[in-house]
Amino acid sequence: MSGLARVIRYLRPYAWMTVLGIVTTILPVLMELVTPRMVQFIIDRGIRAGDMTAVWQGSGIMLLAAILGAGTTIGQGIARAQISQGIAFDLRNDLFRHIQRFSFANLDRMQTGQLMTRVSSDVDVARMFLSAGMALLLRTLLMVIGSLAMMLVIDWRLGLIMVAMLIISGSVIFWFLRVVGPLFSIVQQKLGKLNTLVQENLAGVHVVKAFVREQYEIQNFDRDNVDYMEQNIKVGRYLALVMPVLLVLTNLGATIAIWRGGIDVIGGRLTIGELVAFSNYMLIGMSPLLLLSNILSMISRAEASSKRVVEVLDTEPAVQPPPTPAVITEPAGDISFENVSFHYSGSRIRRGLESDGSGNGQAPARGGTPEAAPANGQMLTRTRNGNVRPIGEEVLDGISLHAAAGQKVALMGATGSGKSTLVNLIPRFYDTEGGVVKIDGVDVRDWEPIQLRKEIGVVLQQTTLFAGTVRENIAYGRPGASMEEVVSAAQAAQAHDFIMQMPDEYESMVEARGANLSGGQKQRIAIARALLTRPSVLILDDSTSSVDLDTELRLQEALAEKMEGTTTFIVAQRISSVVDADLILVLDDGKIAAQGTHEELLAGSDIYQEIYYSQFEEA
Amino acid sequence: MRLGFGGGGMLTGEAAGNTRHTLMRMAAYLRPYRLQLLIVAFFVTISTVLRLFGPMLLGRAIDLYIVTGDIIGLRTLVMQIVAVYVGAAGTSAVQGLIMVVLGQRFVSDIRAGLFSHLQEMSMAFHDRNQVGDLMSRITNDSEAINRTLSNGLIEFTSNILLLGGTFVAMFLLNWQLALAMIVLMPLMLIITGEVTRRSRAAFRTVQHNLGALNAVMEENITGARVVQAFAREKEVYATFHDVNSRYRKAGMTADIITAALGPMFTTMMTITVAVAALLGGWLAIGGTLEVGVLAAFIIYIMNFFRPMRGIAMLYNQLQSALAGAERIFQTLDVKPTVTDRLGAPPLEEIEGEVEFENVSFSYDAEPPAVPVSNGRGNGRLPGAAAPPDLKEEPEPERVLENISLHARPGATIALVGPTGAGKTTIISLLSRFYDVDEGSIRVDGHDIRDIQQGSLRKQLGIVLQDTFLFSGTVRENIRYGRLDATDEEVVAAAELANADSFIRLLPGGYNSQVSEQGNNFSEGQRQLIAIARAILADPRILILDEATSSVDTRTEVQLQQALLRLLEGRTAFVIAHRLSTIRNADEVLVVNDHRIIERGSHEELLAMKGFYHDLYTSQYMRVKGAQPVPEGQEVG
Repeated sequence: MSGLARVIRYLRPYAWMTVLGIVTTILPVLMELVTPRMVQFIIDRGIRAGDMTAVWQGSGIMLLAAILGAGTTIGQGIARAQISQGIAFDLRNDLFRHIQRFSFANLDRMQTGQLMTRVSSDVDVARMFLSAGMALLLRTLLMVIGSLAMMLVIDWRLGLIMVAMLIISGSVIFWFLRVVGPLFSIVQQKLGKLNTLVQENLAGVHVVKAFVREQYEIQNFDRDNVDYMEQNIKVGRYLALVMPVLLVLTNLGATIAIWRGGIDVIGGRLTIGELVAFSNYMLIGMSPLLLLSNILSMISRAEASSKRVVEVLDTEPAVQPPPTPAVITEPAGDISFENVSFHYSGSRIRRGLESDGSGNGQAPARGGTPEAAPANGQMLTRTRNGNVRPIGEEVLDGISLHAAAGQKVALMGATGSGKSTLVNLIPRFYDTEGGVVKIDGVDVRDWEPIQLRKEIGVVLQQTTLFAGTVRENIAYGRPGASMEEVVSAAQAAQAHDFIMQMPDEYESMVEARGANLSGGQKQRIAIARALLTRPSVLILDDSTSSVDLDTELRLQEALAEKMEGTTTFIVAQRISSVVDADLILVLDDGKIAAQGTHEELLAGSDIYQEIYYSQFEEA
Repeated sequence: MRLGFGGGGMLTGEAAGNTRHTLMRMAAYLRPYRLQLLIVAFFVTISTVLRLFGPMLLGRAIDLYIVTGDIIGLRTLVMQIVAVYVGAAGTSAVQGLIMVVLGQRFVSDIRAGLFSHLQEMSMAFHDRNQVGDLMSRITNDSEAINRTLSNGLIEFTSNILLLGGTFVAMFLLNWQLALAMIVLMPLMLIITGEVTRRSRAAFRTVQHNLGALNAVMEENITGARVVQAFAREKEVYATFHDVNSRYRKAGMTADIITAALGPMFTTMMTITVAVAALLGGWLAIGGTLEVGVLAAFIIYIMNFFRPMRGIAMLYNQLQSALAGAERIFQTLDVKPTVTDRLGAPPLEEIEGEVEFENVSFSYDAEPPAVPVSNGRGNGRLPGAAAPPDLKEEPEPERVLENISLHARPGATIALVGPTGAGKTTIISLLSRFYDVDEGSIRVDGHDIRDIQQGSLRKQLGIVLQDTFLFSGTVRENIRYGRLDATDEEVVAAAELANADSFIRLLPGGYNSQVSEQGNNFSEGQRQLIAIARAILADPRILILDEATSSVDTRTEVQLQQALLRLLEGRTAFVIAHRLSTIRNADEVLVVNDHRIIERGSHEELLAMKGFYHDLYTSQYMRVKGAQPVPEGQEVG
């Protein structure tokens, strides 16, 4: 019950509400018990005695009890709603905030659908337990314990029969929790899988349509859907069976008690009144036990879901802020890499969270633990961080470079040679495996990550815009920016003209996946977004690949002017994008193969010459 | 608010139809299971009757046998009681087992129906609806239905039976008093109706806000990299906090309304009992009523209210299911805009001739979308966007005007022009992701609106600008182009796309995992995989929309040689900014400002000294300015 225990800790801010909840659970039980007593009072003292005042008194007390009971029950409802919704709210907030702290290395290994399932569905499952399950559990326990005590007082031998019955029921319940608990975990996991499939399908809907894979996708969905359904049915079967079993057990106990008690009465060892009282308590005390199966399923579901929630919260972001961040004011933007090496591999994320299987097709479970079997017979080695990786898979290897403040550094090289990886290390999206990245002479790991990233304007290779207006998207990095600043950034990014042609200009909505913008337009909005933050360091990761040459030329000129004094890292494919760079680095297989200016490289580097001729040869 | 107009409709938060209508539609999904439902009803009846029998027999044990000391009679009765309980347990187990399967099938049918419907929807629909909200409809809303159905139906039936049984018994005992109880019925119905009306609204808000929560979450988890790059965690969290608060508030309202219903009935019951006791007491003292009858009657009142309360609470819970069902049906009611004409034939083997005749198109031909009232986007206030109906209906912005082109079978057509000129739209129309507003597009002489869209796309191999890979293995991603391709064919396609060399270097080779959206690959690598995927599809018409924009030029040169071989005999549309990619095209179309402004071969266009010429030379100007072009490499 570790998961639920953690979730229940969230009760703390609601301590007073919890007290109110407990009190208002107990009170209505007492009030309900008043009614039969008052009816008895009216009959015995009122009607039998012919005393109308007693009838009035009895009825009055009943009414009072009813109103009080109703009041407390409503109070209980409010307390329950406050507590359960409050905890769920806090949990979702914590989860979301935590997920936002995950570094790129964490995110690379997770699936959006799985995470979403944990934040919405799993939290709701836990909430339902907190709302209904806890109160029911409390009530049931009160009723059972109370009536059992009364039964033992009336006749301990008969009472023992009930105790025995309870022990048997208890074992059934225990067995149930053991067996069904893990099954609920699987139910939620399958739901997560289904969510992942739907999420990917909808995000990639253009590819689905392009390849006419609707039927294939439907088949995949059906497979996961049926999987989820069958798991639900499996659990449901246990639930459908356990309740009748408990029903038989309770009533069997009652019947045996009546049988034994009847014989005792006949033998004169027990009065009829005692037997009647005993059987009444039996009915009152044991009937809530039947609800127990509902509560049980709630508990085991909630436990399974809580575990999944806690798992997210316990996953440490791979990039941790330093305990005492260095204080840097007005950074100049001097960047140096000292013998940096890096590779992508298993991070320290716990297995359960990592993407298992896939949205499409049956994929083997991804090796979550580093001790995965050697892939394709490759040799494995252990890295400094304790992760296992194949030998020779260094994405960056011994990179050393220095960019003085205000310089423009360009990165060129083959697809997959490590250009994006290199620039991703500057804002500390990933931590290096070996070596140090420094800004203004301070290790990036000593910077407060938020401050570090505020100093760096990044245009990622994959352009992501958000739902909202064009203006909101540009002002994303600095929501407080004035309209003039937004326009000026858009102008520099060569985005102003086309924005003005959109129906609502800067207030035009960006559709899902930026569908109403062309690739080049999206890239220019992303550039404007980065420019607006007035960074000390600007990183353009292949950010003009879909921009036509003419526009790119104007963009470069505008950038040179506007970004004067800003250290700029530019990853590009076109020679024309890099000719005026202060330093061009040619990457090859994770190493710096050559560096220098355009002229120097053209004279001295074979690879650079090859790149050059691949673009100009035919001219 | 509109309820979704045509296929481009954005789903709004508004409800579709009334309760009865929604219930009927839900019932339609239950129809295939009517036999099972009948069986369940039968078993529910038996188990309810048996369950009522148990306590009655227990009472008889005391009155008939214990008081008289009849041990043998007692033993027989005890046997009977055991038999009754075992029977009751058995029947409820059977009904439970049937219902579990039925309920799960029912919801899974709904989910499957919704998912296939989403697959049919046109691109315009997907452009306008957020992934997270649609996801919420498939899982969360169907789950809301499931919660009610699984237990609800059984409990409902059993409560109705209990209610009916109690009523008959009351009637037999004292019909005047029973009639007095009927008088209470309208009051209870009014209360239930009033409470559920409120809870219905509350549940709607709950499901709607859950959808909004999901949308914010989906966007910001998918875009988490950008969030971090711009250190926007705080603002994003504020947005989430906002929708999360709304969801909590809605949930709390629904919970409290629901919680109030039970006590209301309990109070009514106690009041009734008190009144009955008062009235009966007065009568009894007057001698007109027997005490025994009064006592029995009070017990019946309690027995009467318990199932009533059960039914009312179930009815209330049903509102949550209805709220979910409404959102699902609302989605199902949106019809795709791009549909196959009735009886449209499939496109058979084609030569690959493509013709555009005076094609005009705008994305906003449909009424502008009404934004979902809240929770959408980042910090945008609800209703911040100007309501479209307050403005003069703006002329829809034309993305393409009067486009005509002709591609002979096997020809390569290059589309060139500034970003946003409409190049991608041209190929989106050819793929029939959208329908043209004016003019027509013909493939091998068939208007593409007259043939099945699936059969059209099967002839096309498309590499889109936004490279999208699915999670799974590299092999699975390439095989997405043709599902029955052998491993050898997959490798051959990858070799042709110049992807084989880097795939082989991956730790798992072709079985390496692609993480969500292919984030563990560089953009260039993703593009090469996407090209391999299109090659494998073996299409008659190949469309490459900036397919190599992030591939380094050396790899691209090699790739191009391979593509030249591939393109032999296939019609191809190529969009590229690197003019080196375009030189070999049979015809180059220069698109600017939504029109085709120049056309001809590379040489012809250069000779024209127009737009294309400027575009072409700009690539070299910078380099020339920086340093003289090496000997023999003169531009021209």
